[in-house]
Amino acid sequence: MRFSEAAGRKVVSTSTAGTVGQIDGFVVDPQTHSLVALTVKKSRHGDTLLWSSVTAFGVDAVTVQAADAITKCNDAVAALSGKDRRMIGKRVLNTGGEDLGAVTDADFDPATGRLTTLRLESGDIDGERLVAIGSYAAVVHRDA
Amino acid sequence: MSRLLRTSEVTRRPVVTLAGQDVAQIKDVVFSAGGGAVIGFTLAGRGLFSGPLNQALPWASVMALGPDAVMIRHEEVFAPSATVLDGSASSVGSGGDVLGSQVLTESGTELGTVVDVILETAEAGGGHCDVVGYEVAASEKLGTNGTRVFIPLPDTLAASSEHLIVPDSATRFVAHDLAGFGAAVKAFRHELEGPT
Amino acid sequence: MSWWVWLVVGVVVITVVLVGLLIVQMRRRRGGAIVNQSQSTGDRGLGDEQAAADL
Repeated sequence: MRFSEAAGRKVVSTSTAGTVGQIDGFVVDPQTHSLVALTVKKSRHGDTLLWSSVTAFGVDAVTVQAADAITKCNDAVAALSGKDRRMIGKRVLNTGGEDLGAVTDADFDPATGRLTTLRLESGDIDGERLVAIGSYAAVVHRDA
Repeated sequence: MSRLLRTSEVTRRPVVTLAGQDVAQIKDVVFSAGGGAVIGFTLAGRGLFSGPLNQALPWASVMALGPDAVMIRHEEVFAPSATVLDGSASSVGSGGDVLGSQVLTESGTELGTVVDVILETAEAGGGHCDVVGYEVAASEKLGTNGTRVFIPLPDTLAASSEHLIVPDSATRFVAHDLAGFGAAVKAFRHELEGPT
Repeated sequence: MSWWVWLVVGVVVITVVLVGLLIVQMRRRRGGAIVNQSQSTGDRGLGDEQAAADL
């Protein structure tokens, strides 16, 4: 699933069947190449939905057990979120110091939260190759 | 496989850690008078208002000298400037900078002034990085007044911020473009090594 | 004080800031190539091959 498709999707509680928020952004841990959390807007409980609290990432909605699955940002997530860690629009450098262009979109596996592909104007990069996301650039391994 | 590049392409290039932070940018390339090996780089801060840093990047800590960035493992690899610069370079403002100095042959003919320095480095990061020649704004002695030519260097060189000394035979291996320069350096060094 | 005093003060401040910026840029200076006389041959950097291997 693409980040661009998934953004804006509503978050629905399976216990009350009510909409409890809307997906705003994605928090990626470059070390594990996967999503650790989603940022959420329009929620009264907070702005963070940990990936572990997601019941299912569906085609039309993200389901959670209850509205309080959405929490305030914790330290671990805060360290990986913020403007400096945002992946979309970031310059991509490989470990050989070549600029590959900016990230236009990314794909993740809705079942596991794994980052599968980084989409760049110059082509796609396997999510496994991601090393880190910093203020200047996202660093990826050079082609094998 | 190795490639040639100008030092002016390297300077101002950002220094980026594996964490994706641009921690500095390259200011000067520092190379050894004996052998021409690149010892390291002096650094300037990033951003409009930042000046030169008193830290340097030793060549041994460079992971990759890429076309768009110099990659390092982390910021802790920076060393005090004194480790790459010798006393003479740090005591005088522009001390040791060979850009703008005169190229003289061993027999005392002036060939021109240095406008750039040519480095040879391995295609894939790591490995060696050596100064192999100069780009020179030629004097009339080279017959091509005002044009820019490339002069190869022997393995050992005598250089200061005032003069650079090259063997007389270097003039026969002058190249007019960087593409042909790699071969000229090889031919020149081969001749110096071989029995004459 | 009359208006032109403020004008002069403004112009002076802007000039000082511009000169300061120029000095900073001069200090950054076009990169150079510095020759190090004290380092001898044989001690050639190998590059951080260990780091490259770690990846």
